[in-house]
Amino acid sequence: MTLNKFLILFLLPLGLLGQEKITVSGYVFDEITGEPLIGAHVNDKVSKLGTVSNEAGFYSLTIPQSDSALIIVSFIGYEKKMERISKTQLINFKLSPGIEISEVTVIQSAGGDFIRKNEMSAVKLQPKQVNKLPGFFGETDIMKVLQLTPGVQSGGEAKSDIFVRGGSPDQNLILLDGVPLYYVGHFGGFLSIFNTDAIQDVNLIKGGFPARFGNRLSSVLEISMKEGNSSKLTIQGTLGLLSSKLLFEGPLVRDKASFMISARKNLVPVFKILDAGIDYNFYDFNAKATFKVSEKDKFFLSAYSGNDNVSVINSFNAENISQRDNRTNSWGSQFVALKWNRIFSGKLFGTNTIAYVGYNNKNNFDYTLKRDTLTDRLESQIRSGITDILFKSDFNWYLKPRFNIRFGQHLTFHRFMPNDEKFNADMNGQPGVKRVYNSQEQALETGFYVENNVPLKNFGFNFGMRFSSYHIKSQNYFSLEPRALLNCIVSDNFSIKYSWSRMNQYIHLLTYSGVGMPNDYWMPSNQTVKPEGSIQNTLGINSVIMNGNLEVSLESYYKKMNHLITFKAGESLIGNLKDWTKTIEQEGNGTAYGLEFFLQKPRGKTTGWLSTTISKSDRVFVHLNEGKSFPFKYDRLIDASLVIIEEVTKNISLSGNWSYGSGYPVTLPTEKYPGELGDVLVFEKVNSFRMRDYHRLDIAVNISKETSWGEQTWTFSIFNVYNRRNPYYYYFDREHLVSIDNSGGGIRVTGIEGDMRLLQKSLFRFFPSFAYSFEF
Amino acid sequence: MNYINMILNRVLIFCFFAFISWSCQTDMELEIELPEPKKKLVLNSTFTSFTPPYVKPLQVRLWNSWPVLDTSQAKQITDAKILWYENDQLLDSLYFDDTLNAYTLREFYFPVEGANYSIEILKDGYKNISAQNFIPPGVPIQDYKLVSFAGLNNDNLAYSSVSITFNDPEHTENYYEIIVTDVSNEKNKYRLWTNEKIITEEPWYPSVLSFDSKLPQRLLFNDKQINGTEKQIVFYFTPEQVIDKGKLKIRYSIIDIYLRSVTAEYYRYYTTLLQHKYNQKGDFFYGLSEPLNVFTNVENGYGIFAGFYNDAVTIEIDTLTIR
Repeated sequence: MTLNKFLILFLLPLGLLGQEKITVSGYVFDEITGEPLIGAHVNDKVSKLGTVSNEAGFYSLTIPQSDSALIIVSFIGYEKKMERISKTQLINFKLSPGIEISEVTVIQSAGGDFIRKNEMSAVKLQPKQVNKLPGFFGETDIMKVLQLTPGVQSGGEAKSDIFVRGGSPDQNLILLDGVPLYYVGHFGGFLSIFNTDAIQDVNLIKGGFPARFGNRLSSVLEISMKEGNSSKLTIQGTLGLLSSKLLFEGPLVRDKASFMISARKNLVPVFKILDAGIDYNFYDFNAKATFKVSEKDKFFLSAYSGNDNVSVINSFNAENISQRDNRTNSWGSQFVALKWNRIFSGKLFGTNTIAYVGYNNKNNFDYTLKRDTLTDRLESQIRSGITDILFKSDFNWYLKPRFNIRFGQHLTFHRFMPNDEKFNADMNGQPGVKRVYNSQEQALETGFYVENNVPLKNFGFNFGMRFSSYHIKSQNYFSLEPRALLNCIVSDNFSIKYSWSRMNQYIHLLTYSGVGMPNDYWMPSNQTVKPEGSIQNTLGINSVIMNGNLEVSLESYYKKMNHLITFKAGESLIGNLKDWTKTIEQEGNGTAYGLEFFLQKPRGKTTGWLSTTISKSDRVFVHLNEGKSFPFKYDRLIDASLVIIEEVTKNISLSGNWSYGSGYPVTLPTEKYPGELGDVLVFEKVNSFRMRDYHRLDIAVNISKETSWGEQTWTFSIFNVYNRRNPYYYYFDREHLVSIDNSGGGIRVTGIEGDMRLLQKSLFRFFPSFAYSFEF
Repeated sequence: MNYINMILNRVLIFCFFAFISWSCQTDMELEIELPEPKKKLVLNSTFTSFTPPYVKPLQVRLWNSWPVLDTSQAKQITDAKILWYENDQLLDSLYFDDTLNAYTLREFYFPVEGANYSIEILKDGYKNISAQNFIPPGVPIQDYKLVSFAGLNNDNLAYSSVSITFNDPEHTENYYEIIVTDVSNEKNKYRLWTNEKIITEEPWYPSVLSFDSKLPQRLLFNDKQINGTEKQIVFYFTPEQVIDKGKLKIRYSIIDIYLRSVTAEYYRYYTTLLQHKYNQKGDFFYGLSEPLNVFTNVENGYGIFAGFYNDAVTIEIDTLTIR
């Protein structure tokens, strides 16, 4: 596209617009909790013009001046509010919950948004409804519910990662209160760090990316923490098998300042109960304080800290000799953010954020052997992590009734620690070995964007441009990322949407496949490793049928990725104190394409959805698989989910979800031959085998009861109802038989090697669980 | 207080359910079938221009591959037709020598530096295989030094250190291998370790954390970091020793120390072979690396056909009482 053509498209909206008269703006809140309502509809009944509240709950609507202008504010699950407006003014709306409280589990842009809104490939979750779905170990998880939607894969049994449209987990921009997080798993990745009790809103974007988002290729997951109940003190708690949690929220100064603090920790030492020799602990902590300094200024202080620690200790003691080895793996994330929301005018809303974000992963190994007076000692520490300090500004400029502009900038100072290692060995008689490898690198990333959103009657578009730069040592990278989304509204019930997005990513994730504790290495682009890039095309049709009771969408996507990295075959960073770039394959290309079908019933006593995805994702690296294309490790050809929630009575709900996925690819040896060091295995082409198909049914019943002191809820759930043995990984094992011969007056025990077998490890079969929650 | 009692009751109920729930949890195993691939021939032959008088310079061993789930014992193939070419000229066909347990030429024959060698193997029921290679130019040991007692290892056994010095040729990519053997028994190779970065940074060298893995019997490295310079390599091994009347003694022995200049194919085969074996000791904590196939330069088959140049020094280790 030439520059002239682009400018014409960019400036086109200005010519399409009429004259505004008055502007009404402000926030939309929940009347009881004081939480902002994101995505609330604000419409003028007379002019038929409308808008939707943004991620801060702010709206701005410019309408022709009229004595009869009637502003109607609505949000699903809340009573509508109406207000006559005759002049430009700032007005906050407080909606009270009460209508259709049972509706909407997943909203793919609720109601008319589904057809009219200039967005596509978006999934919105409400944590209240997520809590009604069956949980893993009784623990509901936002990430696991997202895995039940089209184009989102789990990456393995009960895992909480998300693999979106053939991308890897590092290609998801996960924003908690606007701050990007890195690894988001607890409990070896089986549970996400997101505590549903502390979350207000969840929005996943898989395609048609607005220009305000950058530095990731595959998806944007926006999660907003609760601001805290501004009218009364509330305490919520849950006792669960996997973790227990407690949340406090309430006003600091009534209607001026509020807080929310939540903490979660595993209380049941499941591994100790099993006597597995493993000690596992995790916790997370969320806090947020909101200060309304004036009608136009709000400040937010948010914090998160979470950590997992797993250790295995082996010890042996005998006369004059003792041995102890301790392996510990710990990982965690932290962030602190200060955000300032300001209404500069009825038409201009701005957010400024300054934040610190940290992620670290540590592997420690200590070995001590004492014999008589001699002591051998070996210590190893491997650390990897990333620390960011970021400053960003985002502005919403509601320029005309059907034209708004978003623009902003971000500045991030990264400090990478790809693979710091320390190794000390003090073995008796040997010269002491001390090795230290420091890998730290610093980088500066900046970005600017502008985004034009034009929602017309029969047509809409969102054009944007993002420019980013990245500086590390003497290397500079620049990226220009145009984004476009077109929406052709054929009728009130049918629309066709198309989007084109160029994305860029300056950080890379190196991780080992297969089983094991999380070993995520976040690596920078540098002089030798280029930033990853992608281009995604998405075409979709959306329809509302059966009097608006059912919403249907069918989307196809095609995504090309370049400059991907992965470990070289047989390479590892562990114990090899060297430049990480020597351990990787670079310049990888990826292709992902698929068709996604989504049928939802968002309203009524019975709600739920059916999702089906047919997809393919491949990778090519020059030195892997003889340079030929091979399936991405998490390529799933067919994926389907059915989710149903039935509100039996006001206090009882039943829910169930069934999910199916064709088998993930796996690399297996098929041959062997004798070598100098024993049998040599010959692996078939990379990921040329498929594991068995995956399917599972989970059910749950929630029973709540109002008491004199508050509300309590019992949740009974069953994971894997029909006890399907789903694959977690494959491995080889050889039987070892023992022959006991007691002839000849003695016993002779002989070991016999039996057959070699390929076995499937399955983790979780039929598994009932229970959780108890209370709120007062 | 009533509230506290009530919550405590809930906690007890919760713990009961937690126990029931966890008791349902087990690992499961399910047998999976694999397709059986067609068997291929496996060639193992490394050759050089100089060997001790008791070692036949050209030896070729032949096997076949099996399905990975087949547990039958490997048997050498002894009835294949093997053709040996020097500079594309057929020299002879090899015969199977029962004494050597390998194919060899009837004539006592030394391959030479600078010539190209190729091999072609025909065997009913298998695809014909072929390979070619050469003997690289030699790099002599300039100097060496043995310290017969360099310290005690963590098993309280004595270890020795050896340093060898050589000049790496300029303008060529060179690959090396260090081996230590008994002088009377070339097959008895000592296990070696080193702190030299040009070796420890090789992907095949066992991680400092895999100290439970067996040490390698060969040290392989390339000249990317030392190209065209004089280099001294220090490495260690555990010499033969006994405990006699409560005293630890290093026994008298004679060892050969080889510095081999090897071809790229030789280097790639043995480094990937070592990496392949060490990687099979994956660790739940540290993650598993991606599977690695062992390099082969055998067309339609597996294994190695490669030349090397040997330079050796013979050293006597005197008896020494340690403690």
